[in-house]
Amino acid sequence: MAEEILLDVQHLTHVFPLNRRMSVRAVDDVSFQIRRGEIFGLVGESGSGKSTAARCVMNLYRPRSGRILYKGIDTCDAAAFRANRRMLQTTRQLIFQDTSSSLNQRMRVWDIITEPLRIQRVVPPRGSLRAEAAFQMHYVGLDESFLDKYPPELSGGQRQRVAIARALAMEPELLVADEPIASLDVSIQAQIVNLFKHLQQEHGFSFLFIAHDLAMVEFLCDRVGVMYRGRLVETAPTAELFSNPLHPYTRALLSAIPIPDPRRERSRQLVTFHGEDLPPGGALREAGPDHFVLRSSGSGED
Amino acid sequence: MKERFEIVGIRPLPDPPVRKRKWHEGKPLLSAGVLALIVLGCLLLPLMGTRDPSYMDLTRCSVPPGKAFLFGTDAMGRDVFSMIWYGGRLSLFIGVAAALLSAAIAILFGAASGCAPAWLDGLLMRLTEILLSVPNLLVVVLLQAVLGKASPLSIALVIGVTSWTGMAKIVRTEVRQIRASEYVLASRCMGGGFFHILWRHLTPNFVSSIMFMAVMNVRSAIVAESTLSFMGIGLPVEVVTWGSMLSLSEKALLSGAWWIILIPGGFLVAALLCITSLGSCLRRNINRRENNLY
Ligand SMILES: Nc1ncnc2c1ncn2[C@@H]1O[C@H](COP(=O)(O)OP(=O)(O)OP(=O)(O)O)[C@@H](O)[C@H]1O
Ligand SMILES: [Mg+2]
Repeated sequence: MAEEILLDVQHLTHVFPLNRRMSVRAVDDVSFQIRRGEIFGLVGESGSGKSTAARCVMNLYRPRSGRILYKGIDTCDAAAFRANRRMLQTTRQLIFQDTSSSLNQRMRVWDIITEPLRIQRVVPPRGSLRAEAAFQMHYVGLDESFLDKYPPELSGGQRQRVAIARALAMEPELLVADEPIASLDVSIQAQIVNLFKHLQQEHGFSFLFIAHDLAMVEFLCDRVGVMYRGRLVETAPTAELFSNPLHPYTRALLSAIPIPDPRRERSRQLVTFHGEDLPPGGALREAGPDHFVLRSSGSGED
Repeated sequence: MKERFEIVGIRPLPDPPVRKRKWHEGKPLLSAGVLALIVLGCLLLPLMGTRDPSYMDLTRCSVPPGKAFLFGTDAMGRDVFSMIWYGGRLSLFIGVAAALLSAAIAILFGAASGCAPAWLDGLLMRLTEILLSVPNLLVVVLLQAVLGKASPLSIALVIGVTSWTGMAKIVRTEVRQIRASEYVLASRCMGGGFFHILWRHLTPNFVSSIMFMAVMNVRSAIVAESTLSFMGIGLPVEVVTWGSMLSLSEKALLSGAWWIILIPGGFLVAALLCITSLGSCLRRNINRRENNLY
């Protein structure tokens, strides 16, 4: 694998103000890197700030502090963003978590898929915009008969595939996929995951893949980051993380995976993890090759 | 890779036997027909062999309807029949032009306000409220005074400029709801600019809710023009519109020449009724949006 770092997130913090007094630290001092051609998984419980981190990466939110370097360009810097606007907008694409709201209900499917091409005035490589849409639909396993449908006429899984097709239409280098397969049934999930794997291996796409499903993450991702309450508690290569989880939250998360064997499943120990166990502050420390764990500044080895 | 997908598509099913709605059911055919007749009459007037509507024949003033003058002549000896069609042309033009102008202003202003940060939005909305609270007539008279001699175009401009506020408020509310939705975010992410998002995403969503208002604006613009002309601050009497024809009505009332009032008045009311009925039909159809499976 090439060692070129495509996306470098440094100490990203994003705070949502709730009212005058209170605010939510949705993402708190998160740092990770995605190398070119790599699939980086981000897992964590609901509300841990995964989507917020993804949106910061896509410049949809302006982070409170921290830097996001994409190909060495600081995307949070307005001047740098303007200077590289077209490159940033075409080579990074986002697949939203909720397709019922991320597709305009009043646009036809082929209009939706070719919208990025229209905006960027890209000459469609396959002749017409319609042919391009049909091609992308086939790529994600949809028939051409859906081209003239409206999103409300599709099922959730079909809509998700339209959203994926729209992201693929620009042939991006970095695909930020926010739980792209959560609403799909298992067989389609496998197809989409295989499609992602194919895109990575054949076309060198890099992914920021956000998921709940740890089995999918284990299969698909090269490296995984675990988020808990806005903090990144552990990042490691997938095999390393699944075989040797160091942070207590990671252990709790992994122990929650059911085992497909009734006898062993019955004796499975659920590790519990309480929020109070996570002291504020601390920093990621290297625990092994490419394996970082959040340690509070005081405590030594776990 | 691609072959591993089972391509799913839409399987044709036999149509369930439903009674087909007749094409004209629930459509205001009568209104559409009458309005079409009036509009066609106004557009094709040279083919109908009308007289010059501004030609005054003082020897034959206030002639009642008859063979020579189908609708009679007015107090200045002008042929009412030709005046109706020429006047309708201008009246309808003023109505449509003013409605288009006000819709354009409302969309731009409303969308800008809806997309603006909170303080600017508040400022712009206060501005429209100030405009709303000043009597329209006052603004119209003021604008008229600034623009100088009234012409159909200037009247349309004045009416359009004073009638966009209500619509702008609706547009702004809709835009505020839609602009936070994820497909707008997605479009911004892909690099869509303000006008792209306005045209492709926002307008289709609020066009249904302002359509009714736009049609009603045609109506109120025609009424406004008639009112202004009637009060003598609109178009001069030489410029023939339905409104300016009505402005002669006081004199006609005294002399008992009913046709001078009733005929243009009847056309005006008929056109307004038709437009209103079309507008409410439009609203009914839009409210019956296709329901969504979720
Ligand atoms: N627009 C917002 N305004 C205020 N708070 C928000 C907003 N969006 C997210 N939050 C808060 O930020 C935190 C993180 O939310 P986020 O959507 O990033 O979670 P997530 O990890 O994506 O969860 P899920 O797995 O359920 O999608 C949550 O506590 C949420 O309440
Ligand atoms: Mg999320």
